[in-house]
Amino acid sequence: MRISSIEQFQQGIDSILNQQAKLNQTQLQLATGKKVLKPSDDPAVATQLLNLSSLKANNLQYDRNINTALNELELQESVLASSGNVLQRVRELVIQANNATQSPQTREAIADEISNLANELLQLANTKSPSGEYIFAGYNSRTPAFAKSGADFVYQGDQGQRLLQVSEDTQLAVRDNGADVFQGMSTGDGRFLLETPASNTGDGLVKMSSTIDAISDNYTITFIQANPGDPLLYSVSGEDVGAVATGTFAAGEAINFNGISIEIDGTLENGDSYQINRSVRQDVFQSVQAIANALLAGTETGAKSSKLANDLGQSISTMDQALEHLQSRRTIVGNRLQALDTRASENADGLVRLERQTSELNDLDFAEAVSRLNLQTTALQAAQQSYIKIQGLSLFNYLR
Amino acid sequence: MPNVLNVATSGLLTMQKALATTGHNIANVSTEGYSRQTVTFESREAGAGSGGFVGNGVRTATIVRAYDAFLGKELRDTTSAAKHFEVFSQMAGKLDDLLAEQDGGVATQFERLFSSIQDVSNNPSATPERQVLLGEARALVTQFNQLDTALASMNDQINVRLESMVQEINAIAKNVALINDKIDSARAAAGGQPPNDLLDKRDLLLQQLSEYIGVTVTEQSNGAVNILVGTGQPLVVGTRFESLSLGPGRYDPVAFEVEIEQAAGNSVPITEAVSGGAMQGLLRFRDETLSSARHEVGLLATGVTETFNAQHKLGLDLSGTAGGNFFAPIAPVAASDYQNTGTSVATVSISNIAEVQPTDYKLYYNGTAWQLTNQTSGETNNIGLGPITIDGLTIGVTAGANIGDSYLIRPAYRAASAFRVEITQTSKIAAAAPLVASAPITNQGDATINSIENANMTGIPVAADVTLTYSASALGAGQPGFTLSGGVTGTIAYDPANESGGKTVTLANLGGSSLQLAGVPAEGDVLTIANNTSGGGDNRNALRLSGLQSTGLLLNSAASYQAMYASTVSAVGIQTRQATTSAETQSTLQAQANQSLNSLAGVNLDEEAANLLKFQQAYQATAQMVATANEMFNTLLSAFR
Repeated sequence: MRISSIEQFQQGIDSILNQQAKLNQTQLQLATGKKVLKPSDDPAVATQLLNLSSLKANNLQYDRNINTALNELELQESVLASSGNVLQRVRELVIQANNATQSPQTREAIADEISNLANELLQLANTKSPSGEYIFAGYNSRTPAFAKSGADFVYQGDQGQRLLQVSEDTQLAVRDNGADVFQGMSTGDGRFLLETPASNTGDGLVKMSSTIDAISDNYTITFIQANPGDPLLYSVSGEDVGAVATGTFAAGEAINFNGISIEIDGTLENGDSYQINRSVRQDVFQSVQAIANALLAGTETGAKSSKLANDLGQSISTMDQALEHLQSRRTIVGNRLQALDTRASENADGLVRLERQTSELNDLDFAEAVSRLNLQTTALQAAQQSYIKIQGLSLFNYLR
Repeated sequence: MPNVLNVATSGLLTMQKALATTGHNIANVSTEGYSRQTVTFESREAGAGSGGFVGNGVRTATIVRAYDAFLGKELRDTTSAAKHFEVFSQMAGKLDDLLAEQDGGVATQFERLFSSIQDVSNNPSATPERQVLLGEARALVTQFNQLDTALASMNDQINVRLESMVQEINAIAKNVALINDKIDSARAAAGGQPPNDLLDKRDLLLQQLSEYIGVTVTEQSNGAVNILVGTGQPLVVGTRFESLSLGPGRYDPVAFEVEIEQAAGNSVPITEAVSGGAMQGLLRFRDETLSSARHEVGLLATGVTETFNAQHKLGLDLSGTAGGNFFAPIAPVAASDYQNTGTSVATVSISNIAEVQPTDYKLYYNGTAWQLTNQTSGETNNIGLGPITIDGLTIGVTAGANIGDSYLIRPAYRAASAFRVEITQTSKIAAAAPLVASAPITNQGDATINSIENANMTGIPVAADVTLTYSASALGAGQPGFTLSGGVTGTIAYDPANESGGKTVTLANLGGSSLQLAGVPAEGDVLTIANNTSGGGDNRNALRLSGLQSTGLLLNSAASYQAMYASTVSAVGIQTRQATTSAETQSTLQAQANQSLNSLAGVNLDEEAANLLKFQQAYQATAQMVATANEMFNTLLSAFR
């Protein structure tokens, strides 16, 4: 084929330019360490990379959320632990107070300490997060969770529970509301509560037991002795159902009705009565404060002291219930912390996986790229040399 | 003797011409469009004499250029195609680069926005986190605005290039018409001999023209050429030429329309008929790639605005009032044709953002009914006199139109530039949910409302707290459930025996809320749903807002925000890649056509050197003949001395 001189020249230049363009692309890849420099280099990979980068950003965010959740739960955990310690101390004091050797003065001192403990508990329930939120107030987190109103303790929050997003599809509760934590505990032994009216004149000490899980009514046991010397009769009546049982009371013998068994030691007088009420939920501050109040009231001997003994006995049960309740909340928090640990390690694994995928998709194989660079450099040199050689060939060189 | 001298002289003169032509070739070795010329020799007619014809020497028959009209056409056609794809891929590459920057781009900004929403949900009542959220939202908006500005400026660049192209094309057309005239007269003056260099010049002009626009060239018997563009609109006819010009787009003044002048100053648009050349590359890029990128980016901006606002309005801000617009609403546009003669007005609104497509619709009045044509799929619907709801848009048009009136319905074309954050105060961020449920501690059972999530704001805030009271016979004997009283009344069936693990019910009158009930209630237990009046610590709506990130909300609920952006990036990437490949292929074809023509027409210096020697020797030999004739004459003269 006939080749024109201009064509020969142009082809030489074109092939040099072409080699330079390839070299430039390789050089850019080496400089950035990436295979895909712009979406058109590989649109499918570019889309995947965008997707991976968004997953990575989410992953890092979940990491932050997990840390926040961890801080929240650990704070709650420590408050629950401290509250448990306070209640434990209250329980010890109750046992200490429920001892015949205590004098009214020592009881007063104990009552004082219990009162203080009630306040300590209140402060714990009003714990603030580092950002100034009351952690047990539900959504109403700018208001203290509990406040003292007269003799009562009022919950000022709501029953909202804060959740955090700790992974793509998991929301984890990090804050429980105070209503659930500090008001959810039952009085008595969780089934019933014995109340000794202050009007009793005898000094009966009551021991109760039951074989059933819950009692269905509030009962009153009344003791009647028509004339001194007569046998002491008892009658049991339910608030809803009316008369349940009657009989003659014998010291050391149990009164049994509807699955409940009651033994009373000491002396009973005509007109004495006891109430056996269903357990209700009562906030723990109220329960603790009630103990202090009972101790302050029960500073005398005789009937009063047996009422105090009965009440303190019930208080111990109540404290046990409260401790159990707090313990169960602590267990839940513990489970969440454990779940969080799992999430955190899954998340960390996920990040490693995402980094690896990104690297597989977009990291340059340097060995391959460098050898490609060498090859292209050689090709460019060859193109340049052949251009010089060919351009030197001309018949005019020989026309002299 | 005179004969010998005559023959020698003819040889000398002819060889001089040949040497001159060779010199001309060598001198023009680098001249663009030059075709090598060759001298055709022919012997002069012999004089008859006794004993036969004695030759009379040589003369030049003609000087022709080595050129093939077919190869020339092929080169023009391949040049048009190559330029078309070269310009297209060049522009697509720019767009590709624009979308490519990964750090700090739209994709990254989406990630940062959603991270900041999650930070708000981690600490909903704190101002700093809300401040960051507002900042990130503004940064996202800025990204979109800048992207749209960049896309708009690509359109401006295209307009500038179109402007200069039109000028070039017009100049060439004028020159071709001029040369047509010259060729005609030169040929006549030279007795029909071809004016080679003029022809080369014209072919070069045609070749240059084909870089800008695809042309059809036909040669007339008088040697003039006619040039047609588009679908046969004449640009040059003999010595007459027409002008291309740019006019405003029918629906968008800055989307220039290419027009060609026809008789009596009448211009017709040929934008869609332009085939080949850099001009088609520009127009096709503008009307396909750039426009669809702008539609998609715009739809994404509108989509974010609509869907984010919708969720934001379901929540409560820090002051306990219902959330407002987070982003300023962006209205779709019904652009009217500036040539409309009627008085009708078209309106368009978004009825369901999930169904809106990134495309324009043309609304055309045929005298009795409106026709709506999807500009991407070409699908046409006869919509009578409207209104119609189609692809998530409600399109209406008032009476008063004349035949031929039209509108372009643009759901989101420039939306990315109208994208704005509306709220300015951090306290206006609605992170809380409007309802809160509770179970009083006096309940004997442990039934709770685990979650309550509203789907709209119907009946919210509630006029009075809603109380759910449990009874084993709420819905009749043996049919347990809750009786609702207060702000909403009714009953909910709930059987603790087998639904205590959790039952979800929907309350249509209470914001379409879905409640999740769980646990075992005792007879007479109550659950309460109340307005969330002081829920600064509530992060439920923030959590739902952050959930938007991974939800398919756009393009028929198939694409999340980031997925849609990724698909735009990948679509541009694919088009750029295809264009680059096509450009490479076409440029190879062009190079081949060029080679073919060059192989025929190009000057080869070695060949010319050889010719130089050949003609030089012939000249020397002929000169020798003059000497010989001289010697012969002298010999004869000396014989008489």
